[in-house]
Amino acid sequence: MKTRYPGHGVAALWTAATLVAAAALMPAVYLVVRASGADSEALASFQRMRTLELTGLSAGLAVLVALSALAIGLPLAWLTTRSDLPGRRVWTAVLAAPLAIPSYVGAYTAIGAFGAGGLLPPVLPVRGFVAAWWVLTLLTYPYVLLPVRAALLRSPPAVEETARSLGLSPFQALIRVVLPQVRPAAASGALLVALYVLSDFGAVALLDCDTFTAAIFSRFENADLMGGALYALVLVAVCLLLVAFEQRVRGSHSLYVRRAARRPTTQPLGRWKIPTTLACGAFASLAVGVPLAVLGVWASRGDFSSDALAATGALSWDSVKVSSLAALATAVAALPIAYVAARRPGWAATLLDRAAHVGFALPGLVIALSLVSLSVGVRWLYQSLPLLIVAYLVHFLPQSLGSTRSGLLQVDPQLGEAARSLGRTPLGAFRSVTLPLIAPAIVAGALLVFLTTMKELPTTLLLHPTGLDTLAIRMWSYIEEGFFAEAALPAVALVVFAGLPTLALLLTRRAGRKTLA
Amino acid sequence: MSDALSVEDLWLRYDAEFVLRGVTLAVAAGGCAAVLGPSGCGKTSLLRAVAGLARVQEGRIAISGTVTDDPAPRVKPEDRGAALVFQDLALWPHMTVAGNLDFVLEARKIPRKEREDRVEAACEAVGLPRGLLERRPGLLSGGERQRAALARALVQEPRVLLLDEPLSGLDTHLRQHLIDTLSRVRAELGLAMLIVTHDHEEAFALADHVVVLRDGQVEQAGTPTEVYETPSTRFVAEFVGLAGWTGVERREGMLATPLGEWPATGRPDGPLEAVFRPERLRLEETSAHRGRVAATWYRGGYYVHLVEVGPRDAGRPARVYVRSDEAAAVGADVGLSAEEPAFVSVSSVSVRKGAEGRS
Repeated sequence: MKTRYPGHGVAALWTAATLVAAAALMPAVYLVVRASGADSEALASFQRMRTLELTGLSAGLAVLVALSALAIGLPLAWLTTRSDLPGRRVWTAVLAAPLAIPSYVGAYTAIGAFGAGGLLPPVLPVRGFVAAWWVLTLLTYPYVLLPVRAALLRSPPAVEETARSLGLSPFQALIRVVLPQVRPAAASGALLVALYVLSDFGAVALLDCDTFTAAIFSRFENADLMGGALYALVLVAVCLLLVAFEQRVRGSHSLYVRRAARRPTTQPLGRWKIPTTLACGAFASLAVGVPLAVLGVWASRGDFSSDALAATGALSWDSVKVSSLAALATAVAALPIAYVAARRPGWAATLLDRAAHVGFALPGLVIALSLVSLSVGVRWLYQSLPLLIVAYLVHFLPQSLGSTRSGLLQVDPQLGEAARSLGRTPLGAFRSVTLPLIAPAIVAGALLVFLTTMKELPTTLLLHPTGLDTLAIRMWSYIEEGFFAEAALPAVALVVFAGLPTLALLLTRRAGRKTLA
Repeated sequence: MSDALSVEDLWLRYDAEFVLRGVTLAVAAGGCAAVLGPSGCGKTSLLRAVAGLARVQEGRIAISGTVTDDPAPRVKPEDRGAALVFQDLALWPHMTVAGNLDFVLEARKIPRKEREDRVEAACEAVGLPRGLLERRPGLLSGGERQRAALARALVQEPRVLLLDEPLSGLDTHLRQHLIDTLSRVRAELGLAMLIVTHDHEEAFALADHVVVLRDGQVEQAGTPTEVYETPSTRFVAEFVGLAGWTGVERREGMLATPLGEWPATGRPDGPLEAVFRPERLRLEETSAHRGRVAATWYRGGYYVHLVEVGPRDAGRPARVYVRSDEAAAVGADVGLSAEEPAFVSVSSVSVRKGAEGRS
């Protein structure tokens, strides 16, 4: 259905999309080029390092956390959509709260609660592999819960009801009809969790769990860029392996279903109602209550002088400023690729779309590392604000892209064609018809980028311009120096500023739910 | 005076498959043509090509004498004056009805006074109450939405109006209303229209020229009466109305059917089939042509009987209109008297010209 008139518009669109995709590919290309230049000495030292052991630890942690996030997220999704659990909407909002907690803040509160001299008895470990496992699980299960919930809400009740009317029990219907429908959502949620764990730097460092990211960071600190690049390549390979695995599990067939017209029927919990509610309550206290309580207590012990408050205010302003710039830049950059992917499908669009997603599989640390190496000789670029924004853009482009593209896919192309057939130019039709209709999706994507930029630590640590001091940077340096109480105020500010967009995304029904899904 | 729209030997392909295979048709100035065909026959693609939204591989399109495609596009969609009303209307949901109507006029920098007059006139023409102008499309009923989409197209003062299944999804009452509206608009504005539909009643009610499309080729074109009464193939016969058909044997200059014999002179050569329209059949107890009532249904005022005549594998039961007081029971043996049927060449084996060469 393509109509192409010779014109500058189409060429400009493809050029913009190609430029953005090329920028997204930059870190990956750098890594390959750098590593391919490795001499035998570098390779030998690479072999001496604990590469295999670290790979096993990192991958094992990622898989374990993904599995436990599924074990928690799936039942919670079912309980909050299909059962008669009291207060389901409130549970959803409360249980999504960890989305607003950066991993290093989560680790910090875990140590504050269960560590030596903590607020609670030391019933849970706060050092090593097991500590990283439970802390990361409690931080990441919402990445499974929310998309699966959305899939359950989208799946038409008639599908389940047909199964019941054909003789399946409620449990059989759940296993054989409902679960297969949420499989793609669960698989992509679990993938997000695994990638989160692989690329996490803050939490594993605080919890003394040796992983790849720690090794890369220490190579970097020792100015061993070659070793860092080799390590980073291994990490990227593990990430790509996971992405490929997820695509297999998800299945290639599309499970397109129209929005459910009716609310699904709820399954009464019966005598399990009270125990289930109590279990949810206990879980929420651990996942949400404990971190917030620790933050509250530490913050109340902290310094409340006007100086300290003013300093936190200044940090917040820098954080919000940088995150807003990143969100804006990413939203604009995502638009041309989202447009060609949604409206001009073909091998070229697929290629650009895939390229744009590469940054998603790269840990923030790796992206930052390659941009540092690329810019280290260029004085005006190294540690400049534009370079930091580009790093965020490369890393978070897929978030904005996904939201904008699904917004475009929901807008019937006929709306634009109608404008053309009635006498509007292509650009006029896009500006006045398509753009206003996809604005909510663009905003939702931008909010998501804002939220993740706010939380992002390694990229910010490595690339921030001197003088720019964000909440994340300050908090990290306080913790590294052992000033736990001082770290509380920035941490609270961070959770608040990350929490507001999370809440906005959860509450804006149409665009938001899809974006977080 | 040139035709409002002329389409010559149009070929259009999506991926490897041709959906239009040499379609030719014309809409006279002030005329209305209907393209009639089953879903997937290419009728919507034809509209999109005329509107400039789909690119054709071969052929020529001219609107009011201006060549728009030959086959490379020469005129952009926005400059064709071919206003397309989509099947699901494509009203812009984020604008009020007034905004929808005014949108393109405003972009063309037409003076406010003239814009208001044109919106007023368009609402008047389609019977859209002024009170609805400030509403969003989501708050309109199905019939109101249809009128709004029509008004939005008319306000551009197009050279030709393209309507994709304009009456589908409306109840009987609304359909009748809209048929009246469209006929009046056509008469008053002298506006040429091209309608695509799968419903022969819709086509007959609105158009003075009917083009039956099948697998991207024109199967027959003509006035509604011609297409209905002298179908060129069994496909056309069955697609444009109730019909039963039987095999035909040639016997000494006569064409013999289970319902009677007719002279063979002036008929096409080769194997033929006889198509019987219900209004040309009636029950007659004394008739020698017998059949069995296989099914019957009430149509309001009269019954339709399905009467099996002749061998089952060479035909489809005759449809007969029967007055309520003369209706027979299912299984009854009845006599039939028939007026002369339409004789059509056996179409299932007809070679579809050129189809193999180019797809």
